[in-house]
Amino acid sequence: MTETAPIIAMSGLVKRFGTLTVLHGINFDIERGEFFSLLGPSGCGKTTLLRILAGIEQPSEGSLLIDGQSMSGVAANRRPTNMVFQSYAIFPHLNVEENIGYGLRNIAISKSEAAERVAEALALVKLEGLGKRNAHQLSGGQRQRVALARALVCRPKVLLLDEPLSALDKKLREEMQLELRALQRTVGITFVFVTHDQEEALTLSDRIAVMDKGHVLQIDSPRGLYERPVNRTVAEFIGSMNLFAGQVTRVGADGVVEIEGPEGRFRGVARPGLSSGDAAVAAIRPERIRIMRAAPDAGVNAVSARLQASSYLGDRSLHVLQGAATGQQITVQSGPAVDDTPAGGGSELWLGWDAEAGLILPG
Amino acid sequence: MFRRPDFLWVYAVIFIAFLYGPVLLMPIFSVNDGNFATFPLKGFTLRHYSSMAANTSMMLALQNSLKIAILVAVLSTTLAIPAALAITRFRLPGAGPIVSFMMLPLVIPSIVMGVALLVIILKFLGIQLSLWTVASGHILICLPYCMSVLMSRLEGFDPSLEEASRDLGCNAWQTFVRVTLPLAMPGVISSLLMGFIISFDEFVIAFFLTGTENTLPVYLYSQLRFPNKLPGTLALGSLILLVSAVFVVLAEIIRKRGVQSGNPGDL
Repeated sequence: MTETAPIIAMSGLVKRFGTLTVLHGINFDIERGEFFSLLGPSGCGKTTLLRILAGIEQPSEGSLLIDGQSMSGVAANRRPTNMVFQSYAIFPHLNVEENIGYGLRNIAISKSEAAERVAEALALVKLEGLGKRNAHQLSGGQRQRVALARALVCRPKVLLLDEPLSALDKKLREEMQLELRALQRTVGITFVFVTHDQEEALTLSDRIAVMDKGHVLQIDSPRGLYERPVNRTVAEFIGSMNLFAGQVTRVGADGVVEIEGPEGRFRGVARPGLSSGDAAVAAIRPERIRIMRAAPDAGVNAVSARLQASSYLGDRSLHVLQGAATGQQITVQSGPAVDDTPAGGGSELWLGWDAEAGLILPG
Repeated sequence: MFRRPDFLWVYAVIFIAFLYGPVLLMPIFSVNDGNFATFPLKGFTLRHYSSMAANTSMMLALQNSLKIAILVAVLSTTLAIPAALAITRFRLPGAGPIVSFMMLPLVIPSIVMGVALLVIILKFLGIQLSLWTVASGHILICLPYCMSVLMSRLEGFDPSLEEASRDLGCNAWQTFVRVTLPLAMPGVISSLLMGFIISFDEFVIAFFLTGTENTLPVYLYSQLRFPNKLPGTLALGSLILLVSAVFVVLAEIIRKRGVQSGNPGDL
């Protein structure tokens, strides 16, 4: 295998439990050395996909290559992958060192080399000196580190992580996010990370696959997902998004599409595929909207709205408005500067944005 | 906090006396210097204990019972482990009915079981009655107890522990030896003790299925016809009581320790 070939290649992976299909034909590759996240709401199939990669579940159909080798018929214990479980699965009858060294007994290395590797792994996850601790004497964060060390000590080609941070409190979770990212850069191993927390996925990942109901909706970098979501589901799942419904009235040659709906006319960037008369939505992020006191001249991407509430958050302010025509809720985020903060509740305002900041998505 | 009413103390004392009084009479009469188990007590002696040791047929029955109980404990636990694993670890079709079916011997009266087994062994299998037939009958009645003890232990721990072991390179057998068995050990020990006590104690099936040799309960029953043998049986009974108490306390300590270090897989 060449070093540029993908470390994981999935094609047509289908998984059924009885009559329930939880994965509908998954096709994508994960590149060598990537921090790759599977992101989606619970029940979207992301954990099942991870367990198929680990060999704990078998796909009903389709093929899986890891490092160019077919994984069909290869049991979990023979795969070049290791997993960090959501519950951490620390063996309660073994101490920290024995937990970390568990997998090394199955590799042909000497006892002294194994001990060296365990010490290295302890240092890597900053647990030096805790080797003799019992599993039940560890805090949640420490258990998580032991689970990481135990998986990394086997030097897998791919490390699989099943929502490893979800059991930690917010502060510890944010610390561990930074550490995980740094750790992945240090060891250079491909990480496949399952999470339902979009912020976590954005913080950590090189690329993210957004999943819903057993389908992959979009695979992109965090920036790509945020700025160019392919559809409403992705747009609403990643960050917050204001949507205005309408019908396509004009498709420009430059990829700019215009739609018309109850709240007005909207112009924005669209992916190919929309044609005149199609149902579509104009999508705009809260921070890309400008608040104005008078109607803009152009008459496009302009919504008349009434201010309902504003909250000052220090580095930014959040405003909730109600669209004049449909009464739908619109969220606007403004910067710390006070001059664009509208005064008083109930005031009539205009919202506007540039065509290149807005998106037109299939409705 | 309400004051606890005094009459509850009286009730508790009567209750405990009712439960343990008859049992405690046994050691008292076993050291009584007389041939009849009656009051007033006549004086302290250990001669019943020494005569018991000289009673070779009683010692033989005790040996038989111990042998059978150990065999039954080990075999029924060994048989119950894979069955309990299969039921707790796999989504088996019809697991519910299978479990109920395996638990059935719990509610079948042992007299029915004894007669049925006797007919099968003598008429259908044509096997001579012996201590082996007693042991096999005992395994049958011990299995559901062993199963339920082991199943509750195996259900109690996170299946991802076994998945983690597979993921870290162990095959199914290595996973069983290095993870499942150590974690199930308190259950295994309870199951062994349970099998031992049930078999050691069992009368009806042993009575039906034994050949020329006696187990201890069957022997003791046969001796009740001779009043002068009574203090000897009381002495043996007291010893058994002592050993059982030690066993029960041990089992409880092991179970408690299992619970402490256990809660396996919790966060």
